[in-house]
Amino acid sequence: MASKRFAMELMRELPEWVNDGIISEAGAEQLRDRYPASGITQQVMLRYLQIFLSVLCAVLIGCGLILIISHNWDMFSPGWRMAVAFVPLAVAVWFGFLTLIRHENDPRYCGAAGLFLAAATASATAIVSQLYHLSGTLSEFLSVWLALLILPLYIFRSTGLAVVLCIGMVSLMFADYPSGRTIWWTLGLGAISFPYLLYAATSNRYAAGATLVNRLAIVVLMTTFSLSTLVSGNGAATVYLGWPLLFSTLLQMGTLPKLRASSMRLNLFQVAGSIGVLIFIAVGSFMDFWEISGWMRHHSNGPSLVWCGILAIAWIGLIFGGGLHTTGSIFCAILPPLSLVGLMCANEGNAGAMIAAILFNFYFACLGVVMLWDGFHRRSPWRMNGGIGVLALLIFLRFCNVGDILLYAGVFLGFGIAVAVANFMFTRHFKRLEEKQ
Amino acid sequence: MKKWRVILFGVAVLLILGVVSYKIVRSELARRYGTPYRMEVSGFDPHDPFRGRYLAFSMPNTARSELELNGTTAYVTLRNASDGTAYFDVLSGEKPQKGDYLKVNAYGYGGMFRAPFERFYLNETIALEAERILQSALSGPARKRAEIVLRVHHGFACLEDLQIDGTSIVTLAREKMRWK
Repeated sequence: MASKRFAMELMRELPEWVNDGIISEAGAEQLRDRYPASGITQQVMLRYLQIFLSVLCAVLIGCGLILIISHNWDMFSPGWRMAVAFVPLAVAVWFGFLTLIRHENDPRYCGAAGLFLAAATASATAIVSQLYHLSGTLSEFLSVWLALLILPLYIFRSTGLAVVLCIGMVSLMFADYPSGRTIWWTLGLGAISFPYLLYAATSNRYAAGATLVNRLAIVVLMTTFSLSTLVSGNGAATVYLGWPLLFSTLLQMGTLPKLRASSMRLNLFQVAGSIGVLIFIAVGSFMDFWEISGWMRHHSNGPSLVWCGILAIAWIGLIFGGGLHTTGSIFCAILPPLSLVGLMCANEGNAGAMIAAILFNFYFACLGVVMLWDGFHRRSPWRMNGGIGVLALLIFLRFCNVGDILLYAGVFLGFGIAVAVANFMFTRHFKRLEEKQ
Repeated sequence: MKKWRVILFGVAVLLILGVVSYKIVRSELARRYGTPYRMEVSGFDPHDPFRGRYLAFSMPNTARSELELNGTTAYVTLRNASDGTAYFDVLSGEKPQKGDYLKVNAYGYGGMFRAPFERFYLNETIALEAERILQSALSGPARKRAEIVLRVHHGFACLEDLQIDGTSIVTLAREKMRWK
């Protein structure tokens, strides 16, 4: 059974195929009969209407119940009050369990189960806090609540829950401003939920609307993180997190469907994002980069490396056409040991900084090699050039550390010429292959 | 049905129940076994449409400290004065070995910290009356003593009551509403 997205894309492409003479009008009709996109669209519309009505119904009934309970709150004994906190939670757990057993692949049930569990958890926490007069700030509440939602996000794979998490994390950043006490906690939450968002934003499993929502969620999240680190006044956080987040956000924006349809040259978001990422790689290659902040050198190489790794996966996912199917998975496998070593480095001072720098270079060297290999394998000059570019930049910057300006110039020119020659040869090679075919 | 999803769901549910229950257990332990303390409070603007009805108050938030504890978690000890009112004694970065203490967030310099309590939740039917009682007790011509009653157990405090001259504000508000 073909996906809805495929059927809709097919319907868009069919007139062009008929015009170009790829298929006949009769063939196009047969395809239209086989993949009825209009029916699917209608079905999708009905599904949205159903979701809208369900949400409206839940909100109305919920509000009614809240009003009744609130009006009679004084008549309830402490035990009953506690029941008010736990009954919705128990129902949400039961509903979630039934969803997993009977409708685990139905996004309507999974989405509702995830959101219901999130709401029930929030209300139970709030009611218990109120019953015992527990004080606390919004950021404290959000920190705990959002952490509890990470597992349900992966279990139910709910777009709605992903959006709630993103809004929650953005709110947490703002609630915590300007103290920035929970910045690492929030970034940790972001790091854990990011793989799901990336998967949902790039996978063909989801409907186009859900993919777009997830992409937008990533953009919003990344922008907030970037801005938070930029305005926090923490130099190290800005360099290590703000910079890559900001430019990876631009890259993400460049992949939004409408922008993606435009050519690479006109897609300013992708161009700006790529330049920013390349600068980050370039600056990150210097040993001195790790000494920008003494605080960072002693405390935070690990988290920053984790972030670099996660962001690198995002970039790779985007570079390779928005999917994590082949080469991206290699980097997914690299990430855990990289993170582990990075975290081990965090408490080792200068030695840790050196190991971190070596890992950083190693990681991007691998990226260059894989891009080169993949570009050659798929006959894509763009990917191949990217790989050569990353490798050339890394090697050039190694020489920069020696300190001889003429040597820089020589290496730079040498690599420039090598890249140009290689590019020329590969392009010709590919053209010949195409002609033969 | 994938087994790992059900197992993960079980873990998620246990975590959620654990977090919610932890709050209840700590509060109940403090209520049952905690040492009671009375602390004088003053009131300020209690209106917050987003968080329901509660009485907002401010309690002492300074203690003796020689350390710089800006933006860190700290521990403040509690002592009783001769008139029976409690006060915060010493703020330090390490858990005290003896006596009752509270875990707080220190900020600024000179022993300042975020007050552990700042609101007392009430049912909305009596909240308005209770607010009037608190305001008149704190700023009216016949000033009265407003105190919160805390119970402290192993660094965790539970707010038990808000009292005006020794009587619970809930009782006062209900009585006043009965007369109306």
